[in-house]
Amino acid sequence: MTANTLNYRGKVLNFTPENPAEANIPADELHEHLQNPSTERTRRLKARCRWKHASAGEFVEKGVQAGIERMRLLTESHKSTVGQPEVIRRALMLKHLLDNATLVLQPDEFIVGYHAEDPNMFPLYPELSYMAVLDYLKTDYAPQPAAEAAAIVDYWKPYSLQSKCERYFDPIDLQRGYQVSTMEGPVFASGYNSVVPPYETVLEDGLLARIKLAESHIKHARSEMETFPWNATTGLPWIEKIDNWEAMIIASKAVIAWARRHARMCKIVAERFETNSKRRAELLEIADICHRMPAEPAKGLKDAVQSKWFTFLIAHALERYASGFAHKEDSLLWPYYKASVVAKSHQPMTHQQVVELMEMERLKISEHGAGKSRAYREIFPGSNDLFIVTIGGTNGDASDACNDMTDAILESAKRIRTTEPSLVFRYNKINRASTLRWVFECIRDGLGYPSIKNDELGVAQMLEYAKYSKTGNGATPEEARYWVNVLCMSPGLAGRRKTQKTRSEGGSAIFPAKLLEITLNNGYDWSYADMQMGPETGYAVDFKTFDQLWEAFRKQYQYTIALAIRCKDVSRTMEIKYLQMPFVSTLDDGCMELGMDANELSEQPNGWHNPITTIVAGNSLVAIKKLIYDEKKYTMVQLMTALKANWEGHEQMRQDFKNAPKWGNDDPAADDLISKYYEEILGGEMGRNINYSGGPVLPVGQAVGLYMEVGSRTGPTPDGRLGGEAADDGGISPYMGTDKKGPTAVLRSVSKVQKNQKANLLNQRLSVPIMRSKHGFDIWHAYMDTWCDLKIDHVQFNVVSTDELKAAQREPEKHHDLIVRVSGYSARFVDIPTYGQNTIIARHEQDFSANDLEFLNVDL
Amino acid sequence: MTATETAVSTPDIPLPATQMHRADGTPRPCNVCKWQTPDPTDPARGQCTVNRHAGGGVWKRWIRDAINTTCSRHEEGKLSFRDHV
Repeated sequence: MTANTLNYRGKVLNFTPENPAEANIPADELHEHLQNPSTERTRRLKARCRWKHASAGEFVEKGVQAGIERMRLLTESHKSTVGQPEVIRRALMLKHLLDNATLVLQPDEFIVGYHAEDPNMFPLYPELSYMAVLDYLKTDYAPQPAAEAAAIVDYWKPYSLQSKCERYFDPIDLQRGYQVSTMEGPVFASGYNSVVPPYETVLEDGLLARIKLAESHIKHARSEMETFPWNATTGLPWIEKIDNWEAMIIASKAVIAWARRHARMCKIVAERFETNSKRRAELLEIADICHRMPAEPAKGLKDAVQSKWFTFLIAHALERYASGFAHKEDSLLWPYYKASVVAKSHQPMTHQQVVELMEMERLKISEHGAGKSRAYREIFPGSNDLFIVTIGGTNGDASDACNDMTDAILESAKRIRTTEPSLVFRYNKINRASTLRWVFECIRDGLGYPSIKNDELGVAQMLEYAKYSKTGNGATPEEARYWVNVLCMSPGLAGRRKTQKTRSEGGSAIFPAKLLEITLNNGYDWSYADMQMGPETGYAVDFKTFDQLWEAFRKQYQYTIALAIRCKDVSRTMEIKYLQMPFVSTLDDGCMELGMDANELSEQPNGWHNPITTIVAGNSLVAIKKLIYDEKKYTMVQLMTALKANWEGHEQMRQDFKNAPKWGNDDPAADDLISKYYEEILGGEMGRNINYSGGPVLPVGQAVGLYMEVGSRTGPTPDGRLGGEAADDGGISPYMGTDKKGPTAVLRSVSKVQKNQKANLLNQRLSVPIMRSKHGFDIWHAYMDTWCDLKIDHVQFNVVSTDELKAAQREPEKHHDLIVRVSGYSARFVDIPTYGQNTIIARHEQDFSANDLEFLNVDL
Repeated sequence: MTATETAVSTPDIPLPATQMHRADGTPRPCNVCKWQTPDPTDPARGQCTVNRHAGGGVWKRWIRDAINTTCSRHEEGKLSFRDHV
């Protein structure tokens, strides 16, 4: 509980609400009073939004169902295009889908377009993982008719990415990977994916111009092939390029035709059915936009937002499934904001109308359904999917990138209060104060976003990875400043080329807590699977020194990380052969220039993999070293006996292990070993693996909801944790409730890990009274500047009281607007299982003491 | 590495009793038990959540074959998402 006053530098600081009206709101329902949609229209749209939150593998809302339309049309096309080049087949599949897909137009909406036959539905992807679709067939939300769906899965099984990849692995290795206890399931077994579509080319050029480019490349290629003398070494490569360009043309024409079907639909509804004159005029305006977008370059902000939405639907849901919403939204839309709001030359509008438009975009994303596999319906509890938008940071010339579009995006997020999309703010000390105030307003309202990334570290990382470019065409210094988070945490380039196109480049996870558990047991998993999960590296009871344990852990980690990266690269190889993305390829200047598919062309390496449950293992290593090898207070036999008994009958021993030094308290007794573990093993060993793109794979420590899932699959651990309890909730966060020396001690611990890391998620929970007081912004701002000076990569915040969280547990129906930050994403608290809710409540709510404020050197 | 399943957990240290056991054709299979939740990847397998402790922890066990496995705590039904992980 936070004190309401604090003596600091001779003053008494009073932490009462900055807004006096809040004094009359009960503390346990504050968040139900914070939404403030900018118009009645967005209030209505939010009230009727068809949310698709998943939790514990199931959909929370009734009526959500898998659609069959995409599966059916995909299958029809696949059967009718036998014999054609694979990339052409993929383009024809998209064309057949878009030519025949049901269009959806809903009341009140201005941004149009959906990716399934009904807004309560979402598409499935039998061409990716047959197991993922088979799982859907066993649920209450299976696609209908069920018999047809089953026949479609049966048809696709031999052609699926999963089947294409499985034959290159030992079945036991697959069995281990599929459990999601030592590693995240392989891309090919889940179909989970991420992409950074180059929206810039669509908005700046329009698809008609891209088609012309492809046509001119084909013309040039044909003339090159027809020259004398014939040279096979230079002539034959044109064949594949011609196929790719032709596929791009087919895909682009199909997308234009699909968008124009929307235009015709809106026109028909306006002219024949709509009785409200204002809405009729608006539908005609939408029709005009959809006729031109994305065929032509965007001229105003409405054009840009609609064109972006159509592109999103194709790249993330129709051509192939991909999570994410990666783009540098404020920079991308800024030219169109200037045209519409400042110059008023195209689609004139006010700043407040931009805020409304951004609220509408947030609600479109909130309604978007993802046909994710069960694993991914489990690991983002309380949310839909990972939709992450990046804003802030710096421009290519290192100037402040914050602008009025940035502010509109932030204001819309604060007003409408939705869990998605999440925002990432690239923090740079030159960012203007007015925008930072909006960032703070969102955070202190408890949205959990923006999460904050260190702008300069991201830039440096892009330049470092550019050194490994196989084409010698990695990011330039200017391009390196145009980075976004690909998903929750990892930076990658945005822009017209060199963006990440597939999760087989970077993504997926490894779980050190489980790896430590099996390390203690000769690679055997006694607590979950009851099978050998890794190499036989000896029993802990036989390790004479801590170094023997350390090296055994290293071997388990090496085995698992190599398997995980191999899974991704085998997937990549098959994606190149069978899962071409001609539409995404159209958008990339590199693919267009070189006639290459987006899966294949890699100009900027971006290899990463996520260690999750890291601190449970780190704290356990510290406790083992101290109590068994250094102080010899207990023997390893005693520890193993206690663990096998889930500490039952060994309570004093458990307390000793719990009380051993813990990460996050600026205590060298924990931090020295844990820093070494991060840099030498997690990063050092991972970095020895080179992926498809030729660069090292580096760790992006984070957690999403996997800290719960993997925690429940991990037995008791030597940090004093009971079997099945959740693991740590960040990539570098202290274990919940164990950071007891204040927020600045956490920062000092975290700053000690610098080498061999790509990113690390820091989850912090801040005091509600302090943040909502008039001193809140100044304290947060000073905290952020200190965080930046310490070269820490990331931080995200919860600002919500325990009283309110517990009230929501008691009466969930009264707390639908209570949003919390889980890890890398935000969730509706009442849509999270009780198990997960308790982990949020257990996080230490950080007060700021006078010593903390002195460390931050904040003048209040 | 070519994986094998020959190893066991640490010898000489007793493991806690687990309830589930293989029973081919059992009329009380895990896949219809309320404590079961499907495997994250392979629909032929499952996860048992019956082991819960007072603090709210849910200690899952992998079910290799959800149709031919059962235990003494079998109960048909389905838990709310709130009671799972």
